[in-house]
Amino acid sequence: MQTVANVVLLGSLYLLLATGFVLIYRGSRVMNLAYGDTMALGAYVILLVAMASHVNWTLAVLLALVIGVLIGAAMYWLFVRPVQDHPVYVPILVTIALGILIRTCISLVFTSQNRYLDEVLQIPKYSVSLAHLQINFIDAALVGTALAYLLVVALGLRRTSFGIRMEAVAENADLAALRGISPAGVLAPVWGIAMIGAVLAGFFIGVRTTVSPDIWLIGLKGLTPALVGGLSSFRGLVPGCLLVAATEVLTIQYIDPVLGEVAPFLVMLAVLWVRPWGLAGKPEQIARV
Amino acid sequence: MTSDAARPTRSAQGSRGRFLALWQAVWLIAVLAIIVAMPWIASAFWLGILRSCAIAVIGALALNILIGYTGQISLGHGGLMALGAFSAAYLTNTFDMPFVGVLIVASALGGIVGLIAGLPGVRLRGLYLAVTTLGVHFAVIAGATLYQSKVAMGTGFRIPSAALGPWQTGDGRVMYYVLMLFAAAVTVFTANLLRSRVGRAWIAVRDRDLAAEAMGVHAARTKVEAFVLTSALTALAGALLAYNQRFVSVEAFSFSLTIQYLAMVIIGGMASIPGSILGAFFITLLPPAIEWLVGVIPTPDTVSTQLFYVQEGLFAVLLLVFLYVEPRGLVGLWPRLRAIPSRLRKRGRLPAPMHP
Repeated sequence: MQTVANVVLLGSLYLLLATGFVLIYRGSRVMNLAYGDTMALGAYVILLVAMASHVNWTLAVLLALVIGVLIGAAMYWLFVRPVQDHPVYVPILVTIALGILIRTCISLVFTSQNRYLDEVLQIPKYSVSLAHLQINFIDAALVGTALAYLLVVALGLRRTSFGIRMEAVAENADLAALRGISPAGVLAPVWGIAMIGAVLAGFFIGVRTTVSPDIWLIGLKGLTPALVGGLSSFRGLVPGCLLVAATEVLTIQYIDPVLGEVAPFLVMLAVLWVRPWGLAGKPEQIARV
Repeated sequence: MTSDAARPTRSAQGSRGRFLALWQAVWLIAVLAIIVAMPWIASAFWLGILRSCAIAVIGALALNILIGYTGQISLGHGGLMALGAFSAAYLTNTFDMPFVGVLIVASALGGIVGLIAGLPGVRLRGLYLAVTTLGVHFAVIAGATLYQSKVAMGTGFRIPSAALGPWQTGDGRVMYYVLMLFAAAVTVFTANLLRSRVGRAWIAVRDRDLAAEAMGVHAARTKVEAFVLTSALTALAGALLAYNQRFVSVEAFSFSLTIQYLAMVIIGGMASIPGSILGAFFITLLPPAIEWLVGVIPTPDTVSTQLFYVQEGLFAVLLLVFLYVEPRGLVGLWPRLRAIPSRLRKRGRLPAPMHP
């Protein structure tokens, strides 16, 4: 029972990250490898807001979300937009370099020691007993937030005019621009919205465990379910996250912790071998050489 | 000429061509003399760094084949180097295999792993090779960590000194020459390969894979070939690294090693052999230079305690600067510098830098 709970919790964390990751890829066809570092940045922004203003923790998180959205949009506008039409490796390298820069800045400001968000934020510890299971309030919030974020993003793309404009830009940026849609004007908010997932993931990691510049690796693991599910589809995300999280938790428990740490990457490699278009994608989505 | 597309052609200089060739010969001899004389000039510390440079040249050339000449990207360079180094550790500790045998087997293993791991990613357009190689990196590192914790109690493996039959290289100076010879051999090999049918196929696929296929080049096979060669050469560099350090431990092969090699290729010069060499030396010499600078110039304490992050941050800044401002890398600076006088005369503008 505890194992199942662990899988669901880890899966929810990955869901937050993978949703933002897929959103960015779907909109701008860029794989954002700085995503793990932006997640760490989100956690540190919450820490900074909480230490500077002593506001209520919900307010601190909301404030950090706003800052995170601005950072995400700025990151796209300043760094990614100029290289979007360059060969495929250029945006990848740019996001890697940005990620390292974020990590350097964090470690220079906060040093690399571990921080505990739940102490700083003074989050109340509620828990409910339900059929032999202690359900922590924060854990329940994690699962709820992750599902809500996925639903809002996936439905928002289909139902709102902004979402339809984004799909138009993703399909063909030039044609969209001819129709009066500014591609950069659409994609900057998309990168901003994707930061919400990163900041929330950083928050939950910080509250449930610790914050250090090295949590970027957890964020990097968050991109594997996106590939397992099918890089540009939201439908495959929940099964993808559960599969990756289950493999990781079971490997740590029954085989070896070291192997468990890289289990997400092994699952990803296996899926890319057998079904490169992912669990929910379609073979046509992949252009073979 | 295809491989030199990014650079101005020699023939553009017209009648001065012969004169320059003489100067080139003089330069070549001077550089060779310096390389040969180094063990008597440099201290043991700097000689060790030069040995690392020689290994970096091999690794950077391998990665440049992939990025510069086939337009693909690998994020598993550190993992593939670890594969070479740990093959060396396993083969010497278990079978007492001699130096040359280890190098051959390690390179072959690198090629095989590259083939198995790269096959799905290399054939798919877009970002898939980047993600698969990232996965391979973490898989290799996990395997190496497991092996190290089971066999070597977690500390690492001692490697015997490199030897060829009766000739030993116990001395750092001899190893320096050996590594420089390997670097030179890989350089010549790569340069010749790029002029051959194989290299021209890579460039054709990079520039326009459909056009290349129409000319009878098998695009998928060509890409797989390039990735296998990159992996094999990287594993060779890893095995040489093991012999150079005489010690292998998994901590040395983190993701930041991959970033260092990416920085070498981008900063040195994409699709350029002198660029790879320049980048390898530049990035290998940078950390000791920074460490020295931090010791000399007064800096805040956080900089010296977080030195690792500062160095990585500097790589990142350089990477960004070169990607945006001079995508041709350090070798691209030279034609730019040479153009300054005529630019001042004409008051015209330089053409915008292009990605090769």
